[in-house]
Amino acid sequence: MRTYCADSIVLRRIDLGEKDRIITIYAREQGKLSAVAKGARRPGSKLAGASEPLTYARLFLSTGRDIDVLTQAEIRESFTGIKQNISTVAYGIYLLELLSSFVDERQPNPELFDTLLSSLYVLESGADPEITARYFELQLLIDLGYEPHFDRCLRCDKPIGREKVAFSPALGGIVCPECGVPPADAIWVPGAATTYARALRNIEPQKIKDLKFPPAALRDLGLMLKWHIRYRLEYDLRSTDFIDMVAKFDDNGDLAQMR
Amino acid sequence: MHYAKPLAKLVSEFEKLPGIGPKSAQRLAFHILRINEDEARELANAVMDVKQYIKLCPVCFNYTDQPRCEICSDAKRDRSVLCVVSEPRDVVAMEKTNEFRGMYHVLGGVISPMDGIGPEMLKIRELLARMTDGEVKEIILATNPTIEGDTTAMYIAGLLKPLGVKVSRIAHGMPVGGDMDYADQATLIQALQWRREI
Repeated sequence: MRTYCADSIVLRRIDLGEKDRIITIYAREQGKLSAVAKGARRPGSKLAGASEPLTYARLFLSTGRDIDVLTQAEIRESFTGIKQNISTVAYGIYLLELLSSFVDERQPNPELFDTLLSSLYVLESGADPEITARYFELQLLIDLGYEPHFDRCLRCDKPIGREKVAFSPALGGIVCPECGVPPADAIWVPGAATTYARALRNIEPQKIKDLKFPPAALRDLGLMLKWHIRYRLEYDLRSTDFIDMVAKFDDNGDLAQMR
Repeated sequence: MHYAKPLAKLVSEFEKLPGIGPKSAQRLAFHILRINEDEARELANAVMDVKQYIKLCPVCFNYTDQPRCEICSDAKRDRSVLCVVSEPRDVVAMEKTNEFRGMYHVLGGVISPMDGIGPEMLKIRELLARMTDGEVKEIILATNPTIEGDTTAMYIAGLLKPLGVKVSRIAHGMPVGGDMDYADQATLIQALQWRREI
């Protein structure tokens, strides 16, 4: 039985039997993989905290016949700041689900791991969770080669200005209004929203906290990326419904208006 | 392996139970073959009885065989305090302490965005309905200290606080008999955050 160590972010976990858990992790050097955390549901288990989603830990695993086994864990960051606010939890879970949906098992990608980790630290630092999510979406798409083209019209190569433009996930970018009828899957958005996509493409993660986007531009950018991601995955992510639901809560975590 | 048809059916039914694999299913089925007919009938009747008589209490959503569960029917319980738990087995765990004399509300699960379990799938609307008569003064959120349990607690707190009701969360941190040296960082951070003056 081979043992190895993996710098990992826990993506999700499911209960197994009476006391155990199966965790899905994204490891920097090993990629996405599943492992069983024996006894992790027992009170006082040393593996309990490290098998919670949204935890960055150094995990010690041994290869098993069917599934690897988590033997020891050393938590590096449990992101308590994210977990104490319903809005940041919702976005944090969304980042994990987004990454998990795009990557295959055992396909290491240290750059993408670092992007996820830095995005989680940005969320932890109190940055706008919506901007952080847009940043991560863009960086993930760039890293995996699915980056949508926001700079120029895909048909005439003209730079995008402030006028309304069509965003087509099938084409993977923008078609300007002068280039005739856009593809059937296109949505119309103000060209200004693409400026913010360009800003997020090249920014250092630690500067995201200082960013302020107009709400309408952020919404339009979110819509374009959501359509693009849906086109690539061919399904909607489950955690987006929860993000929409907690959007009704104010900064204190209270629902402003009773339903 | 080839079983006689009725035995194969029993093995396949056992295999559907949580945590039961093919080997365990086979062991249980052979055990049933060995016991006498009365014992087998008692087992079959017990299974049928729970399906026939056990319902959810219309007030707290705990399991009961009465029109209202024992706790909701007990006039001596304190109706001003409501303990919110995720599963009926959590009521059993709380009752074993003999410390809590208030009422319960069973949500029937926890919010889990990745599994597609949203608040509308839990008994949260019914919890809000219990607040309308003003009898409840405090809500204790006793969901598990997991990301789903904490999210559920935050969601419910967000709904209830504007109503002016006191909302509290069960303490998190070191387990009784635990060893500081072996506690993970997440537990110690929680223990520090939820510390109290003595």
